[in-house]
Amino acid sequence: MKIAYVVPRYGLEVLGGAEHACRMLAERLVAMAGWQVEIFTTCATDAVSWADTYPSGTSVINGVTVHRFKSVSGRDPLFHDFASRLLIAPERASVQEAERFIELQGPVCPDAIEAAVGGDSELLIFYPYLFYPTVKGVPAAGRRAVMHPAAHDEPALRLPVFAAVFHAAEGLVFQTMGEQALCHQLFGRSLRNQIVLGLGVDVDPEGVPATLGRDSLGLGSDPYLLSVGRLEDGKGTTMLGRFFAEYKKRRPGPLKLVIAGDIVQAPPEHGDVLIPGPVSDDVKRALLAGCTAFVQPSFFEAFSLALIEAWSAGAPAVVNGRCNALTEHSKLSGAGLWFSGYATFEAVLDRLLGDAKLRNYMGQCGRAYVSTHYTWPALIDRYRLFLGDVARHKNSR
Amino acid sequence: MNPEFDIELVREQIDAEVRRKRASGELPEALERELDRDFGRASVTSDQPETTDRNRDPVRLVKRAAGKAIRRLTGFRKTR
Repeated sequence: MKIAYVVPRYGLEVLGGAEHACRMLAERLVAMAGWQVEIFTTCATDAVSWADTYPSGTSVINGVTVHRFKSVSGRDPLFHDFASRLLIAPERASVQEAERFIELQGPVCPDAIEAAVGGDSELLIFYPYLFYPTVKGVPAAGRRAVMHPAAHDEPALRLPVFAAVFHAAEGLVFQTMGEQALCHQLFGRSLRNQIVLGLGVDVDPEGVPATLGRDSLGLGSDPYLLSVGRLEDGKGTTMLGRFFAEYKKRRPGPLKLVIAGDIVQAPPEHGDVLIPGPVSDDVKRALLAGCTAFVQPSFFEAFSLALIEAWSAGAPAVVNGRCNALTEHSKLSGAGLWFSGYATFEAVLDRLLGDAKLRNYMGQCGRAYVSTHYTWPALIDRYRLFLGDVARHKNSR
Repeated sequence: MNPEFDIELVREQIDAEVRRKRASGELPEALERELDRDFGRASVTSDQPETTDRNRDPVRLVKRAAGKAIRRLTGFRKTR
């Protein structure tokens, strides 16, 4: 089968959640299912400006054919002020205002949509819901349209432009049951073919020695908590740094906190908090294998691949209870405990650090959860069957 | 795998422990309030237009409305 994805940006350098997820699925459909996969996208790498960075034209990345088109416009300087006003009460915005929001937000790239629609792919898969390529592309694709919304519970989702997009899609692929429930609540249950898929991880039975992570950061034999992801307020890392500093004040000892990832906003400095910046995959896996617990402090996750990776390494998790996707994973797996403020953060850490049997049990639960739902062969199999059904169904209607 | 632990039950035990600490004064109310301000503040900062949820914060809305009213009454205009 031949399919195409339409996404706002794509490339090895693009690390954003939805776009990275798209690349992982596209590459594995080629490698594991033998499908032909094309990408129609912009020349952007940066999701704030959407400036053209890559040259336009066609290239092949890991077996996937990528067609890039220049955008008519990226993020307009008026966007933030306009969005601020509109999103106070998104339900009351007019369709015209919502469409202006989409255009000012960027990237406006009609050429990518036109090329995708004019191509011969059986299905056109759009990812994520929020941007121009999906909003304009799904209706243009007709019965060939499948959408991965990657929807959060955020005000923009309530703009009056999205109901028509969700209802126009022939198939919807959700990352969690929480995301599916949110979309049902906002757009009704009459949406067409749906699947809750998530994302996969590569489980390496050999692993890497935990000493690699400890040695690279000079951790010695100290116990440590680990968080992996972009360091910025919205990702909860500043709050985590403050909570951890208070925890150490009230519970002195050798415990450290390692927060690895791109640094946008660093948490307050503390002698027991290590911030190495981005680390290699091997070091990350070694750190995961050796941590006492993994912490996912983010408030806004549609899925959290970082958490799934931590569980695949057998780490018990502590997660932000304000994020539905994280609590859903934790309850289903039995491998995560959630906090909803400092008091529960402290009590969760006290319990986990003092109960090796519980940590071990949660680690096993995490591995089992990942192995059942999120290893690539199982996941690609489910995805392939779903897309095949959608393609057959649209042809038979 | 035999369920040695029920994670939701463990979480309930943690909530009970929190209630005990609060009642005993082991976790001072003022400290918890101060730290949880960080938690509340961070929860309205996403990578989407930063203004979105923040502008739904009732405190900010009241402050903004009051500021507008004062400016209107005094004839003061924002210069930027």
